[in-house]
This record gives sequence, structure tokens and C-alpha cells, in this order.
Amino acid sequence: MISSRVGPPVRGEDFFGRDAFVELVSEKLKGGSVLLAAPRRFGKTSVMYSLIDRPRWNYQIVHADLQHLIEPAELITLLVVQLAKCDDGRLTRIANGLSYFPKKFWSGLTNKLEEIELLRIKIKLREHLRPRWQEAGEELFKRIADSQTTVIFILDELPMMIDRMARSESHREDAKTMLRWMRALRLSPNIENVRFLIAGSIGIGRVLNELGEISAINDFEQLRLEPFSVKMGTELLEQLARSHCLPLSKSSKRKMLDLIGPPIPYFIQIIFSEVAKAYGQDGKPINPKTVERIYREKVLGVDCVTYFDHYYGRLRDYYRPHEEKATKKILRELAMIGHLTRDTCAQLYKREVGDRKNIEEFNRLMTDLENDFYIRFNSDANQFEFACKLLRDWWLRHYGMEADI
Amino acid sequence: MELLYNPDSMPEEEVKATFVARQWLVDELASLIKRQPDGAGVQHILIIAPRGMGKTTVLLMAKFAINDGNLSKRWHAVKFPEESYGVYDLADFWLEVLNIVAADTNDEQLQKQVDDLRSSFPVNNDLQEAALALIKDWRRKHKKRLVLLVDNIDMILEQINDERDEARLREVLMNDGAMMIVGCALSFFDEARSYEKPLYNFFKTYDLAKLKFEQIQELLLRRARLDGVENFEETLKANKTRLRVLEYFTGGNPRLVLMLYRVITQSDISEVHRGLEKLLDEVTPYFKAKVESLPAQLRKILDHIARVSSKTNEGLTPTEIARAVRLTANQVSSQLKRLADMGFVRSANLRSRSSHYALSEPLYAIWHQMRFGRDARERMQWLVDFIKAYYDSEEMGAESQRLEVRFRELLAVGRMPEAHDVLDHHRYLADAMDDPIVRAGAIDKLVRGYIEVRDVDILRKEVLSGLDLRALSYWTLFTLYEAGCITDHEIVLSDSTVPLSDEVQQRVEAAKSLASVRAALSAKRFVDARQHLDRLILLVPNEPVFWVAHGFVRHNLGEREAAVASFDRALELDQGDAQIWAMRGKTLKALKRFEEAIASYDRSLKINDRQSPVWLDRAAALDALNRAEVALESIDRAIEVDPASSDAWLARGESLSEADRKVEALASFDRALDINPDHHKASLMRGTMLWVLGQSDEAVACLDRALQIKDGDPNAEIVRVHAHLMKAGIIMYQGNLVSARSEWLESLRSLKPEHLDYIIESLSEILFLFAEVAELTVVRELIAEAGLDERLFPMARAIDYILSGDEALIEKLSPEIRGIVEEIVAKLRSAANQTEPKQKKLPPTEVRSTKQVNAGKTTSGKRRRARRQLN
Repeated sequence: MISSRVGPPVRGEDFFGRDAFVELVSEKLKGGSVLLAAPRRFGKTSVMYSLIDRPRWNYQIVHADLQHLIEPAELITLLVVQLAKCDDGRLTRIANGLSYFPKKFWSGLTNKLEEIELLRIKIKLREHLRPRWQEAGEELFKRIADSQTTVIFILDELPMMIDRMARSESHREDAKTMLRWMRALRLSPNIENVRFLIAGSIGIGRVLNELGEISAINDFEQLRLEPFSVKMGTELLEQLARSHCLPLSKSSKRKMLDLIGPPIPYFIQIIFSEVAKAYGQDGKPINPKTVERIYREKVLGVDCVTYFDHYYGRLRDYYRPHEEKATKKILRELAMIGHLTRDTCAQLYKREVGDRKNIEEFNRLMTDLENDFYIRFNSDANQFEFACKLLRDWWLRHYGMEADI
Repeated sequence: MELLYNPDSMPEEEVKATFVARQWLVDELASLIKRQPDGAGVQHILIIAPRGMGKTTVLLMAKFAINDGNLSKRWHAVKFPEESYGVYDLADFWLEVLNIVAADTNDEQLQKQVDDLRSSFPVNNDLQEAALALIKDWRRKHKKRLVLLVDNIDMILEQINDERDEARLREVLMNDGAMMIVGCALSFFDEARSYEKPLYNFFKTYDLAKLKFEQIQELLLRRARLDGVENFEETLKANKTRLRVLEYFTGGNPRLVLMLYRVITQSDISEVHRGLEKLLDEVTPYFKAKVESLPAQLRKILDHIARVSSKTNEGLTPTEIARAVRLTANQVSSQLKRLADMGFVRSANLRSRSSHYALSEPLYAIWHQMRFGRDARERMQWLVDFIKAYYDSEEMGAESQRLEVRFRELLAVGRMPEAHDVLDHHRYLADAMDDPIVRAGAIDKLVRGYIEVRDVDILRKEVLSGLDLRALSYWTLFTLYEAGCITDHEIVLSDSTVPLSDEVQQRVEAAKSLASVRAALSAKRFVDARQHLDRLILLVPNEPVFWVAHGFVRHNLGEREAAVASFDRALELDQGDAQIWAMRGKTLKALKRFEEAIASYDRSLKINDRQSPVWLDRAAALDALNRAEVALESIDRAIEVDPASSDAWLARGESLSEADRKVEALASFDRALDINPDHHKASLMRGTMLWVLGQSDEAVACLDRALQIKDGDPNAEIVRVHAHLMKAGIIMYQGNLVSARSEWLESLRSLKPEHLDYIIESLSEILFLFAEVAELTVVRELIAEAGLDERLFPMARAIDYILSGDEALIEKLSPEIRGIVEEIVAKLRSAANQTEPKQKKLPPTEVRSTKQVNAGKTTSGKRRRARRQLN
């Protein structure tokens, strides 16, 4: 029985419906490094934990969450420490064999030294590595390469770390250095048994673009977290309903999936959460009509605005002013009409940008919108449409009629 | 009362006993904690609700749930205080966790370790990691994880304001599993709702809905049970409509419900006011910061909604707002969405586009009112509106009276702060009154109250502003004048002056004159009083009370015809005033226009037949017309109205004695003395009646008691003289000339010369009595000894004539005087022929046995003489 979880990664039986995707990631990791692509809250970290909890083939995992790091020395220190803490003796021996690895740390781990004492050692290690982090990193990966053990480094929130470094005057160059260094490492013929699985809350593409290092990840295979199938979406609803003791009819479930469009698990969770709240407060049975009302009033209303409002706000933050206007125009038309050909979108674009019209820039804009999960290209109909119905409804509701400010 | 707003300080039992409506959330939290995975994947919670909705209480209940049950084996609840002003970065946050754990568990060693951390790890990031490491160590040692119950987590994160710290926090919470956060916030704050922020949608959120009607009832019941308020359940059942009012005014906000609970159970408005002031202090920094961070346009719109909806209690459409703030409707709609997102406003009726927008938080509305209200009235408008809606006008009137009585009680014993509170309470009540007459009365009392407690400041700041002075009584106007709150031309407010209208200026002049009248009357300076009243009725010719005062003064000056004219004028203005008719009657009676007097009394009694003194006055007038039977009926009515009136019983006794119903008369005098043992006249009359009934010794004893009475009443002196004289007469009849003479002299010794006129007739009567039993020479000596030769000249001459037989003594007199003297001579001779010998006379009973006819006459004569002495 699964429960509705918001925020933390879902593990164990709560991790639902992504087995096939995890298998795919696992397979891809056999051949190289993988970049998980999806908006925030779509379940990337949960996929990572699934690989950690249930390894599919013979690999060892070193997991590190990088979201608070700001310098390469911290990264290397963290990787070394994580390595040393692994259950697998092979990895711990690798760590222990490093020339700079503090013996005290090793004995501290084995003797269950207090965390605070271990921290003191870690701080010293970090200080030691600061001026020579590349060297230390190379030694680390060389030792891994020599061990013949396949090690997958799962680096959660690497984009966030890069982004933070890029925004800091004193760390920006380090960011570039680190990216290049990591790429070189990945591509080194001497290091064949190291893989990287990265994902992040913010799009790495945009971060690297800003840094001018877009090629830093061109060796990663990008895998997008796609919506569930309808069957899987229905199953998810059933499980959620059971765990919440919420009687949910077939028609109600069907209605919920119809309303949100492609069964993106995150959106399924959102609509289910609102339905469950309403049931909890009113105690009245749920039927399709109620579902529709809840969808219109709650999911599309101010109660759920935080789930979607960033789509609008990011246009202002990440797109150039003339592009912002054009994008809003295109999206509004898409919301109203439902689908637009590329040519129509181009016309709308040209009308807004005026003399600055540039077909390459238009193409890039549309790609960005796809990458940022606003829209998708329906190759069957040869048209653009919103990435999901829910997003379209929301856009239509809040931005379909009024003038932009 | 403070604890209602500070659940952290309430005893655990009290928190549990008054917890309503949210138990499902506490149960869900407990269930969630129980099911948390080890390691990564812990679910963190955010409870969102405006102030006063019970977030802190939910956290407390969650803590109790953890501590009371099995969860305490694996979890330790760490309850943050409501405000954590000392947390400015993640290191502070972890250190605070450790401090609380150390305090909760009395772990001195842990506390020492915490204290040492700052010096051991000077770099902030390292300190943060060290504090976290210490938490992990604690966890390992005690095999427990921590539930961090963090009130106002949004404030903490805002104080931290560092993306890296937030990222680290997220990382720890997501991956470590050592801690679970249950945080509370006023809104879905930026750190948790912004896509770019580390904590974006990181928490599972719960909103605390407003209390429903049944839940409000439950809360009130539980609170009342705890406070020992009797019969509250019945009160609630009988007042469902009022509870709806409560629901409306509080918006289902538990804190406001409990505030108003104080109003309805203990009429404790002053304390609610203090509570609201405290609330204002608490929320001002928060709301101020929130509002000031808004762009100007948003602030303008929000301010407009707050001002208008606080007056009308209704939402506004975008069109209405646009018109008022001079923006387009589209612009306003867009801005309203933003305000709704931020939690300032909420919309209703979204089916069409004509949504109404109102403030989302009742507390914000109240805060806005209290902070920006132009005057005290506006600032407490919420409370006033509640009182208006909750109480009907009759209750408000009754409450107003109760408060006035309470104020006087507190003032009398010098309990000034409480007296002040009562005044404040009364002020809100007055503001809530719709009935203008009741309201005017309340305001009148209030103004005088504030002057009596010498709080002119409040008057100037909060009461006088906007007050219609025309509604105030003259006396209140005068007290304001004396206190310097008004001058002849202006109202003096705390920061400005307001000119008085002509009408009010005139009233002020009248008030001053009235004050002079009062002062003069108090000092019995009737001439001065009349002068001031002459001026007063020139200023205000149509005020009946002034004409009444005028009549009263003229009556006391002996200008009785003029007094009647004044009363008539008053009656032209107000025919329905019973007192005016009564006073008119009294003056007419004094003029011996008894028929008219009776008619006037009758008019008074028709308006109000519960006036005992008026029935008595009417009886006296009837008696003067020899309508004794009707007079007695009138007296009986007086007694029916006021059975405890000793004067009424006295009058009854006198009337009965006049009707020769001596025993009944005596009983009435006895009754008068039962009620008032110090009633001079009743004592005297009783004594007289006892003597008439032949009980001389008892009569003398009674008169002696009468003489013991110490009374400040100027008439008491005269009564005392009469008592002496009556005693003298009785003793004389008993044959004790020496004692009788002594009493005679004693009566005159205590007599003031100015009172001689009142007593002269009685003196004559007593001398006639003496003449019946003593030689005329004795009587003549008594006159000479008393120095009354001149005042009692006719009697003195008559006796001299009888004793000497000298015709010349009479012939020299003027015809008028001669006639009087000859009358007296005849009377004396008649008295002298009554009995022999002269020095002694047998008691009246013995007289009856030997001279039955004469005894009867004599007895009647004594009674009449006795009565005449006293009238």
C-alpha cells in the first residue's frame, strides 16, 4: 500500500510505477553516464534511490547530495567520505588506500567514533585537499579504475552546485575547471569502470549555457521521466485511495486522469491530494462531478498555485524580454486553441519581436520551451501542444484572458 | 487571560481539555511519525494557517502525543518557542535544537558540549556541521530520532535567508533521516513555494480550516467547563443566533473566539481590549513588514480593501476597487491575483468573473483597523460591532446600568484601575448602542466617570472627538467645563480644538448658571439661586427642569404665588412629569389653596401612583379641608406604596387620633417607631396618646425617650420643646408642681429665640392646661420666669386682671387687644372652674369617673391641644 508523499524521495513500496524506467537507466549506465531530465518534484531522486536500494547488476554506488556544496575540495572530500562509509569492503579499501586519507578517520569509522570527532577529521581533510583537489580527485578515480569494481557515482543536485559556483565571483572559474576535469575523467580510456548518474532540481542545460560550458555534458545520455501509462496512472490512484481509505469509483478515477491529461505521477498526486482533502473535510462521497469541481476550484485555483506558477515566473527570469513576450503570446494561443503548427508559432513570434526576428532564435526558443516542459511536439499531428493538459488548463484559467503586466 | 494567547504557558491538561476540531491532524501526524522510514525518505510537514488558528496548540498536542505514547521510545519531541529571534543561520538552528534537547532532558553534559562548540568551530559552516554531528551523536547514543516542532518556520527561514543553508537543510532532511520537521507558518512562504528555492514544495502541507459552528460551540463549552461557568450549555442552547454572530465576527478563528468568550461570559471587554492591544503588538512587526514589502500599487489596493471591508464587512469587486484606486479593472484583477497568492486576500464566487475580494485573515482586518483607525472608536470598531450584533438594546441598557453601579462601587473604595476598566468597557458598550436616548445617557455617565477618575486625557483623545455635546446633560457639560475639556467656545482635544456651535455654547452658559444654582441651593442661598435661575431660564426658556428649580426656590423664599406660576410654566413644557405636579401641589397647600393642591396631587398620582410622600401631602390638604375620612384613605395609600415609611404611619396615627380612634392611633405611632425608633414626632405623639389614654407614667417615659433622641433635624428642637411642655403638663396633672415647673423651664431653656414663633401657640396651650390644675398665680409666675411677658402679653394681662380684678388693666387696651384678652379671661375662668383644688389634679381617668362628660371634653381638649402643639 503506498502513501502520498510530498518532498522526500519515495522508497520501498511507495516507489511505484517506475520499474521499467529504472531498468532503462540501469541498462544505460552499463554503457555510460546518464542525465535524468524532469522538472522538480517529478521523482528523479526517487529513481536514484531505487538504484541504490535495489541494484540491478553488479555495481557499487556512491551517493552524494551536492546541493549545499560550493567548491571542488568539498566535492572530493564528500566523495572520499562516502566511499569510506560504504558497506562494501572494496570501496572502503579504495578510500583507505588514498595517500591523503586520514588514518584516524578510518579507525574512527571502524571504532564508531563520534560524528563530531569525524567531522574534525573531515575538516582537516578538506583543508588539505583545497589547494590540490584535482590531484586528489585523480588519485581517487585511478584507484577506483584499478579496483575493477564498477562504481556509479550518483550525484544529486550537481546542477545546483554548479549554479551556485557560477554565481559566485570567487568560484566561477572553479566551476568551469571542475566541469572540464570531470568530463576529461569520464572520457579517459583508463577509467572505464566509473559511471555518473546526475540529476538536479534545476535544468543543467541552462546552467551550463550560462557558464559557456554546454559541451561539458554532451557525453551524458539524457533520459526524460515520462508520464505513466493510463493503466499505471489508474493503478497509482487505486493504491493511493486504498492507503487513504478513500472510496474512489472507477469513473472518478477515470475523470481524474481525463482532467490532468498525460498521467504524470506528480500531477496525479496533486489532484489526489486535493480530492482526499475535500473528502476528509466534508465526508461526502466522491463522484466525477465532485472531482471536476475540485479540479476547477482547487487544482486550478489559488490553493495549488505554487505547483504551476513558476512556469509563468520563469519566463520573466530566464528568457530575454522580447522572448518573454513572444513566449507568453504563443502559450496563450496554445492554451486557447490547443495546438499550433510551427509556422503559426513562428508568425506569433515574429509579430512580437519585430525587427529582431531570427528563425534560429525562434527554433532555439521552442526547444527551450520543450526542454523546460512547457510544450511538446506532437509529431503525429506535426503541431506543438502543451506538455500536459493540466498545465494548459491552468494557463488558460490564469493567463488566457487578461493582458500581461 | 494572557494564557489564552500563549498556549505554550498553559498547563498541559488545560491545552488538552480545550483542544477541538484538530484532533484528526494530531492523529494523522502521530500515524505519520510511526510510519516514517529509517534513513532517507522522512516526510516533513508544514501547517499553514493565519494567526490565532491554533497552530501552536497543534504542535503542543503533537508533542503530548509523542510523549504520552509509544512513540517516545523512538522519537523525542523538540518544541521550538513561538518566536526564535536568535536563529540567523543553519548553525543557530541546529544549536537551538541541541539547547532545547539539553533543557528537556536536563543533560548538563550535552549543554556543555553545545556551549563549547562555538569556540571549537569558529568558521560558521564548520559550526553548522559540528552542531549537526552532535545531533547525530545524540541520536546514536539515545537511539531516538527528533521531531522538530517549529513554530513560525517561515520567520526562521526568512531570518536565515541563505540559499546554501537552505540547500544544506534540505539535504539533511531529505537524506539523513535523523530528524523530522513539523513546521508552522502563516502562509505558504517564499522559501517553500518558489521553484528556484531549495525547499520548493518540500513539505506536505496542511491548512487549518476555520472552526465550524459546531466546533465553536464545542470550544466554548470546554473552555466554560474548565472555568467553572455554570449552566453554559443551556446558555449556548438558548443563544444559537448569538453564536452565529460570534462565528461571523471571529471568522472561525479560535483565538478570537476565546477573546469574545470573555465578553460573553464575564462581560470582560476591558480584558479583551488589552488582549487585542497585545495582539496588535505581536502582529504589527509581521504585518508591517509584509505590507511594506509590497509594491506601492499592491499596497494601495490592499489598504482600500482593508478600509472598506472593515466598515461594510463585505468583499469588493475588481471594478469597485479600480474605481476607488484609479486603475483599470484589468490591472486590479491581475494585482488581486498576486495578493491572493501571497495570502492577503481571498476571492469568492469564482464562477463568473465578478469575484469579490476580501481580506483573507480576520486578524489582519482587525490589525488594520486598530493600527490605522482614525480615532479610538474606529480602532476598536470590530469589538464595538460585535457588541452591537450580540446584545439587544434592552440588554445593553441593563448592562450600562450595571456598569455604572459597578463603577461607583469601585470608585467608592478607591480601586481606580478597575474603575478605569469598567469605564472602558462602558465606552465600547455606548459606542455599540443604537438607541440614541440610551446612548446619550450612557455617554453622559461615561464623561462624568472619566472626570471623576481624573482621566481628562482619555476624554480628550478618545471620547470627545466626534461627540455631539448637545446630547450631554447640563451637569455633565459643566463638569467638562470645570475640567477644562471645553471652554466657552471650544472643545479642547488632545491635539487640536474644535469650535462649539452656537447651540452648544448656549448650553455651556446654561450649564455654568446651573452649577451656580446648585452651589447656591446647597448653601441654602435662595436669593442667589433665584438670580442664577432667572438668568438660566432666559438662556434656556424651554427646559422644564429649570422652571421647576425656579418654583422650588421661590417657594422657599416665600414667593409662593410666583412659585406656582413657575411650576405652571414647567408643566406647559412637560405635562407628564409627576414631580412637577407634586411640587405645585405642595406650594398650593402652603398657600392654603387646598382644593387646587389636591387637584395637583391627583395629577401627579395619576402619572405615578407610587409616590408615598405625595399621598401624604394630599392627606394633609384633605385634612385641612376637614375631609378626614378621605385623608385617611390617602394615608393608607401612602402606606401601601411604602409600608416602611415612618412618616406615613405617623400621619396615620395623627389622623386616627383626630377621629378619636385612640388605640388605633397609638398602634400607628408604635409602628412608626418600630420603623424608626428615633422619630421625634412619633415619639411625642405616642407619648401624648399614652397620656390621653390615661397611661401617664408610660407617657412620661416615652417623652423622656423622645428627649434622648439626638438628631440634626432643626425641627427636632421644636419637637423636643414640645416634649418638655407635654411632660410638664402631665406632671402638672399628676400634682407635681415643682417638677412641672422644672420641665416648663427646661423647654424654654433649649428654645432658640428664632424658633419662639413656632412654639408660642403651644406655650399658650400648655399654660391653659396649667391653669386647669394650678393657681393662676403659679401660671403668672411661669410666664414671668420665662421672660414671656411681652410675647404672651394678652394672657399675662388676662391673668393679672383676674387676680387683681382691676378693670383699668383692660380698659386701657386697644379694642383689638382688649377683645383677645377678654377671650382669654373667659377661657381662664372656665379652666379655673374645672376642678378643685388647683395645685393638684386627678389623672384623666379619675376625672372621667367623677365628671364623665367633662372628662370626655377635657380629654378631647387635651388631645386637640396636644396636636396643635405639633402642627
